[in-house]
Formats: sequence, C-alpha cells, structure tokens
Amino acid sequence: MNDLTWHKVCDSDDLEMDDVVGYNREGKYYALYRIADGIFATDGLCTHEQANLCDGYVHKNSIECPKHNARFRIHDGKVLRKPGKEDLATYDAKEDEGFIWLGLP
Amino acid sequence: MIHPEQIIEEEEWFKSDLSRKELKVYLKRNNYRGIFHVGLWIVLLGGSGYLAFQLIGTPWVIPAFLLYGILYSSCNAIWHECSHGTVFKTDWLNSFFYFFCGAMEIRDMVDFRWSHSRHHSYTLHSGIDPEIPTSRPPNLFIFLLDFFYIYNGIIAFKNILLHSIGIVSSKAKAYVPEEEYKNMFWSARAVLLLQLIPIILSFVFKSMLPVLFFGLPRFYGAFIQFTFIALQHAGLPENQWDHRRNCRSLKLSPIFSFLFMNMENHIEHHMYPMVPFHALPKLSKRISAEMPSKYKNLFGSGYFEMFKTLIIQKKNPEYSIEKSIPEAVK
Repeated sequence: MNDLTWHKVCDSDDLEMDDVVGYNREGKYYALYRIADGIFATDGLCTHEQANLCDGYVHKNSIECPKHNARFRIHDGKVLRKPGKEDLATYDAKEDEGFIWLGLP
Repeated sequence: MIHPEQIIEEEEWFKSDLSRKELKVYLKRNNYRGIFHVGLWIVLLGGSGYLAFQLIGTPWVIPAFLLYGILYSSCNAIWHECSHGTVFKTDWLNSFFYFFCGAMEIRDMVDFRWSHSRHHSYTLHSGIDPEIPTSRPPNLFIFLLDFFYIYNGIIAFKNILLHSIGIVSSKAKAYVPEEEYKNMFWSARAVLLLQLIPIILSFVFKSMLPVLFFGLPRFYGAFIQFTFIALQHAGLPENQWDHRRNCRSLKLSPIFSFLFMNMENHIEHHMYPMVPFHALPKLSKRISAEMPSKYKNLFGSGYFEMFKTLIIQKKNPEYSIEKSIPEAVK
C-alpha cells in the first residue's frame, strides 16, 4: 500500500451510490465505483470490445458493459457473464477529504 | 475469425446529449414490468391456443390459429430483449426466457449472443455485421420468403443441425470465439430436442396439432414480426456511424408496441442498448429533438419506402435512403 501513488479522480459528490465514474491516465482507462461495500476500481474498458465501462450500469455489485451486457464483479473484476472475456484488473481506491482517489503502483 | 476491432474504431457512434444522471434513471431494471409483459403474453398465447383448439372443425379455426401464430412469433421480441438482459431485474429469468423463446423459433442462442453483439457494435457495416437484413443487390425472392420465416428458418434449422453434431457453421465461424464452440453445440442440442418433441408427438398421435402449436406457428404467423424486423434496417445506408441514419424508429399502436416490446424505438435502442423496453418510449421522447421524425404505422410510409429502395437497389446496389437529420445536431 505504501508504494502506491494516489491520484485524485473526482469530488466525492460526483460518485453516487451504485454508480461508476471513469478516469484516464497516461492513455489507460480506469473505472471507479461506489457500492455498499465501499469504493473500488477496475480497468475501465470491457474485455470484449473495449467499450467504456464508466457508461455502464452498476447492478448488484457488478458492472454491466453499456454495449453488450457483459458483466464483471466489482470487488475482484471477475467475468460474470459473456461476452466478457478476460477478468478486469483491479486497483486500490479510497474516499478521503471529500475526494475519490485511485492508487496506482 | 474476423477481428473488427482491429479494423475500425468503436467509439465513433453518434450519441445524443443525455447526461449520465438522466441515463441512469432510464437504465433501471424492473421485475414487475417484465413479469407483467411476459405473463400477459403467455396468457394471450395460451388463450388464443385454447380458442384455436376449441374451433377445430369450424372455418374459424384458421383466423384463430393465425392469431396464435402472430402471438407465438412475438417470442422473437422477447428473446431479443432478454439477450440484452433488460426484461427482468432477476437475471435467471432473462436467461431462461432468452433460451426458451429462442428455441421456439429454432435459434442457436449462443450463436445469436455473439452475432447480436457484433450487430450492435458495427450496425450495418458491410462485411462485419452478420445481421444485415438484405444483401446488395437484394434478393427480393429470399426477402419475400422470410415473411413466413422460410429462408431464415431453414438456415437456422440447418445451423442447429450442424452445431448439434459438432460442426461449426460458416456463419458462426466469423464471430463466435472458439472457446464458445462447446457451449454452442450443447445449446443447439437442447433446441433440437425441444423442437423434436412436437414432431415425435405428431407422428405418435398421427396429428398435426403438436407441430401446429410448437414450431410451425413461427412460420405461419411470422409476417407481422418480419415486417417489423425488416423495417428496422432494410434499405438504409451501410457503413455509417450514426444510428439515426441506419435504423428506423416507428410510431405504432399499443398492440404492435406490445408485440415488439417497444423495439419500434429502434434508433434509441441501438444508441442505448441497455435501456429496458419499458423505458424506451420515455427515452425516445427525451431525445426526440435530436432524432429524425418517426415513421407512422407498420404498413405506412416506411414500408413503401423500404420496398421502393430494395427495388432500386436491384439495379443500383449503391443506392440507399438518406434520412433527414435535425440540423443543429448533425
């Protein structure tokens, strides 16, 4: 945890309960979520056809791709429904001082 | 296998000016709306089937079976919407009706999942979208056969047979990933089994009734559903990155809207495929300023425009309809 660099993503108010927000850094897409269990982050593109997951639908602790309803578990990025292919990578995320933060190595 | 994502960029589609906050309201799933719609459909299907059975031996049996066939063919709208996972909030209900309603019209549902994903990513992009309704130049004879699901029904049945014995159809090879082949074969076997049951019963009881109630209705009752399906894209321009140009939205009576699960809002469905059927009319109203005007009626101006265009395309395959798009948001 200590080796992470924390990047400010958005104001806390900009990420509602059961919702997702996108974040781009150095050409890579990330998706950050607020669900009942806390704040989480995964890769931001669907592993099927690279649709942007921040346009998707948060549903029962999973994120659904806005294009073809591939579904991934938010906690660990695991594919729950086809046409999702590989699991999403997950990242550290937190809420602190009124902001949402993404922790990257 | 084609990898279209290596050829073209995904994020070029036109999107309406709808905030995330607004979209979230439309995206909400609702079990009650799904159960009401599918429940009513089952009741109407059962009722019309009972009526047809009671009228055997009278001339009224023909319109009664026709009504049953039209309602039966609406299985197409249900499995289509279930493929998007949006009919029910409870996911297993989506999966169950996706498979069962697909089996009612002899569809391999694993094949369709991948085919339809591509159709949404690359709508009417030639050589990539496997669901382009007519070739260029169009074969009008095949097109007319499909008013009774004859051409596509035979193709679907052939693919089911091939997949059930472990042979991948040439069409499926283009878009189904190899790791899905095994699932596809088992799905085809299950559909084949369901379709064989009424055929066997018909032989055993020496009666046409089992196949008249399961399987054949998708053929003799197909014309309404096919008219609607054809209108969604036929005659519209290929290789465009704007669903307003390559889809048609229609204004229909509540009865047709019920049979098609509000899919007459087809531009809106392609623009936001995860919006459930019950929210599409509201979404359509909200973004109407950015949309071309809707065609009126199922057999109205859009229907004649489609046929006229297909006839012109026989001689000039490059020809297609240019719809008028609101100026301010082109």
